[in-house]
Amino acid sequence: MSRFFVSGYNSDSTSEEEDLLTSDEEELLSSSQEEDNDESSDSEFGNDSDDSDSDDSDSDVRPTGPAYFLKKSFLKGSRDDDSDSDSDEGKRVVKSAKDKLLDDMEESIETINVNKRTNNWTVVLNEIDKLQRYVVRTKQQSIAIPNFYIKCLASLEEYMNETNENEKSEKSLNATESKSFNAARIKLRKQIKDVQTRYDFYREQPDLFEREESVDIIPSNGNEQSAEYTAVGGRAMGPVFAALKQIIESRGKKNIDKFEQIQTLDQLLSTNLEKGSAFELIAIYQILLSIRFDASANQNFMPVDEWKKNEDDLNALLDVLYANIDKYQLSELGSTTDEIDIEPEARADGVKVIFGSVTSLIDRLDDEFTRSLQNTDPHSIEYVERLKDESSIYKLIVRGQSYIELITPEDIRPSSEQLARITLRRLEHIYYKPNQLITANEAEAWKGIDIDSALVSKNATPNELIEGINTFLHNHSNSIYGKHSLLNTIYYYAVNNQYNQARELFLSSQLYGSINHAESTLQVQYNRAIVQLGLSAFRSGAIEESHKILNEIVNSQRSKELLGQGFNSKYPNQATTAERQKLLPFHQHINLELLECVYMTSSLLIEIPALAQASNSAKDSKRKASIKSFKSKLEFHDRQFFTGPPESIKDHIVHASIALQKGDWSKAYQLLSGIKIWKLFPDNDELLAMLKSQLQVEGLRTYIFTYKAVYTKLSIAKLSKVFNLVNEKIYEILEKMIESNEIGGSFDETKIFINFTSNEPQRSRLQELAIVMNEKVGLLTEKNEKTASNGYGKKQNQPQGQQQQGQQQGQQNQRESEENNRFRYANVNSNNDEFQAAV
Amino acid sequence: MSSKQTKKYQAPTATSINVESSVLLSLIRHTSENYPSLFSGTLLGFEDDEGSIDITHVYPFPYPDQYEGGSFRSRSGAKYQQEILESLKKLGYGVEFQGWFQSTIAGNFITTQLIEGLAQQQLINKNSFILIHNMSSVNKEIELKALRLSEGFIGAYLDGKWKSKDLESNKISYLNIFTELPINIHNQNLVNLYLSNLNQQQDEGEQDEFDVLNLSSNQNVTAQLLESLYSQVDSYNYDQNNFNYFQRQQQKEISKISQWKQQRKLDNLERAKRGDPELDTEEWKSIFRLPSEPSRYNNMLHSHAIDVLADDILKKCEEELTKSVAIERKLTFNN
Repeated sequence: MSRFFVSGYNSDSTSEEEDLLTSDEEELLSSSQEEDNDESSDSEFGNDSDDSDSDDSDSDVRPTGPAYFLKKSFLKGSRDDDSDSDSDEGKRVVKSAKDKLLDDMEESIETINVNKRTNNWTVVLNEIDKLQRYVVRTKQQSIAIPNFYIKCLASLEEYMNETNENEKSEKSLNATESKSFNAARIKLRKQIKDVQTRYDFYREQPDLFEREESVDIIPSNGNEQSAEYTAVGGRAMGPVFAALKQIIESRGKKNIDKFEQIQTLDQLLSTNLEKGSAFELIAIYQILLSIRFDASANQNFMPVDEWKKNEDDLNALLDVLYANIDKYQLSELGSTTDEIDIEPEARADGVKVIFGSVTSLIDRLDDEFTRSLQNTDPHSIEYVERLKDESSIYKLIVRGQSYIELITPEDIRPSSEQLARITLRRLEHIYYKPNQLITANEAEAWKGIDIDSALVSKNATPNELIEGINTFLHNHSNSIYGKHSLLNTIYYYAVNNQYNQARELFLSSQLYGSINHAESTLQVQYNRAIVQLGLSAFRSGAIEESHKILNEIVNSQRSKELLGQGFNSKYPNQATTAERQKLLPFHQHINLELLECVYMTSSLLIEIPALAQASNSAKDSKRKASIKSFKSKLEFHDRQFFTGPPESIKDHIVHASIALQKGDWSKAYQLLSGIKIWKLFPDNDELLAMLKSQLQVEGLRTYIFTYKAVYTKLSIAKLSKVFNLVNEKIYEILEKMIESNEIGGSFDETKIFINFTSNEPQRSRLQELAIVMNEKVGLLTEKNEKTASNGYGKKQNQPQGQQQQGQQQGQQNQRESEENNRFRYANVNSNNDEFQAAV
Repeated sequence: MSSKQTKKYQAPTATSINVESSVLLSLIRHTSENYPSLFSGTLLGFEDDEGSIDITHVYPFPYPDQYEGGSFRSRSGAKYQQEILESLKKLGYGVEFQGWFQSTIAGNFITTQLIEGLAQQQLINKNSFILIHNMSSVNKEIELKALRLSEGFIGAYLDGKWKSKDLESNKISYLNIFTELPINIHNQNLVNLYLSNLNQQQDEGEQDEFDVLNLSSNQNVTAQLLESLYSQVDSYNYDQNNFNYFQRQQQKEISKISQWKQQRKLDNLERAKRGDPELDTEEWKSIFRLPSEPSRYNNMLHSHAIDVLADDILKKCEEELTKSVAIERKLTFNN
């Protein structure tokens, strides 16, 4: 509460009180005496006269700062000749905020009491307003509404009713006063309504309110009392629901101790666990769970013990739901009732559908789990410990899914949001795992669940599981689930070495057309699927495809961001919490180093032969512009003054590429297989075997490209020995190269040798230079002619050309018409007429 | 250039160069041994009364040049030159600075730096010159030229505008940038003796005489010449582009002006009919402005370089052709 407002109110009240003092001193005395009797709790201040309170904001709290000095001097000066009882500074007492509030209220009530007698309704109206504000503040500070307030309301209402009666007979009030009177009445009724329960209670038992402490009607305070009270409420509301209602009402308000509420609910739960009806239990669980979630809402993530409790309770809730499946159902399709204690109407089959959502609760729990992982250091033991809970939450999801399946009739399944959501959740928990892990997960999850899922049966293999989920989500009426599940499925296939399936699925999905308009989470998912597809292509030996797929992402410089694994900006602190929450937890990350390693290896296998090919044929170098990336790395390596043995992954690859350039595949293989990161792939050995054969082939190609100019013929047997490949394979590769015009050559009849032939003219440097020189001199002449013709070359050239043509007309006519013909075919539309004449 | 315009240029009086053979020997040795890096140096000597310059000493600059004429006006070069002169003065030699020598390949020596250096020197000492050692046939022939910027060139240089008009009034083209001075080699007896000694030593090996019969072509030098020619042609073409652009602008303006003149003439005729006073026919000068002609300086230098290079290449070609014909003869004869 701000002091500022308090003083503001007081300035208001002073003016009124001055007014009051002059007019009704006697009344004031009597009313203050009355109040003294009422409020023994405030005995300390009970003796204070009204005017002392008027400036209490200044005097009862020691002023600080500059105001302190100001006030002091002012007070000293002014109070010396004042006879006020409060002027003595020594008497000043520090009040708590609560006491002060209560004081203010009392004061207002007094004013009301005084003024109502004199029909000064404008003042009363003001005071009622003030009271209203005080009451709001008492609620904010969680102070119980004081009894005297209720009493005041009651008496005021009585009095006003009386006055109203009187007013009907004799019009004693003037226009403004009667107006205020009516306004005050309306306000009063409203206030009474706010505290209706207590008010009624007071009417019932006024003597209870004579006590000091405010009357509490929370059941824990005494069942007797609350039972009595609720009975009066007009409608039977069980103690359980009364408590629940109170908590529900306080939701979202400030200054409420959520943990106290949780405690209350826990107690409630434990007392009702045995005898409580299922409906009650469901209601309690629902509220308890959401309050627990709320309690940690402003923290980074939910504390683990709270989370565990919620998990247990959620399981218990599911237990209850399963047990009462033929009586109650908890569904998003249920309807809300006016009061929480009213059970919804039963359907035809006798099942009452309660509004609520198991899916949302599980979603929330899972989100909290993810958040806690995001906020834990991924390299710590806590992370691993926390990760162990994944199996339990997965189990919960599976249970939830089968429950929702159970309560969702067959026909509306494809459009059921809650079922789709929880199914997608389930998929998100397994899609990035290898098969063995999924199998283990499933086994663990189905333990203790009796029912089976119709979507995916209990004993499904991982493949069937993922496909089942995917088919269901794909056919769902909301296409967003389909997209997510599709990408997850692609990812799953890719992880589990089913490259072709993943690729086909990806290509048939046509997602790449629209992905740029999708939301960011889907985009991240898309990128992940692509990257995983690329890695999978690499493992299955489709090097070129892998290179093509990974090229863009690796070269984008912001792969981290694209994969939802972090921020590339320099200042990660700038990221908003919302952005941060979209990041994936660490255990789902794709290893970026591995990604780069795979990309570089595939670049190596593609670019080194291409480089060799390009450097040995002058013309092709222009055509192949795409091989820059690796070349620059090699050039950088060449520029180094000192190159030590390879250390980093990049070093290994660069060294390997240098070896491969010389055709030394075995050294390249040694270097590449020395990279430790390959171990992150599950089937390490197969991968290395694939790499080896790739290196042999590419090494052979590089060798041929590099040295074909040196040899006129090469023995295939020799090549087979050097590259450790069978003759047939070598023959095959060479033939392919010849066919694709990469090399010029042919085999002899016995297929023992390859003969290289070169159709490229073997010009010496001088000859090349002479050819270029020819061009230059041509240019030079042209320039000079231009100069001779005043800077306009072509116009004046043409007549010259025509002259020459005239000289050699016989020969040139034919050629010219040919040329024109060709030209006409190229641009039919431009100048037809001109050339038709020539033909 | 413009700041030096105040200097008065006097026509050179010396008409020939006398070079001591010892100077020549040390010069050739220095440049040949350091080929392909380029060297330049100071030539010291004195003018005699008969209108010739005697060169008695040569001192190359201690560092090779990055391009021809690079050391002439550099601070370190000037300092080195000064120091040598002073040392010689201390020893009682009355020699003076007469010019530079520069090793080069064919026409490459024509750089703005070299021209600038030489021009400045010629303004100070009317008789200064430059000795160009063309190394395009190094180790085979010695090609030395004593060059001096022509009077017309210096005249245009002092004008500093290099417009076509200037070139015409000074009567210069790329062909007469330089005037060549005859070189007389003055053999001392000591050098004669030294050379005959050398000859005797070499006669024992008897290799020299057959060197002429070496039939393998010297491709390297030819390629180098061609490459130099390239770069000169490229620069020339670049320059020519600018000039052509100017030409077109010029023509456009001129046609505009003639149009305007035509119009004015018609106007005046009409006015004359009405009896109005004629309008000024020369007003176009204030309305139109002809584009200013770009400098022809670079064009001239490049042209000259191309000329020299082409000459050298031609010479090489002849050489090569002779050789190939000889080879062909030999082969066909064998068959």
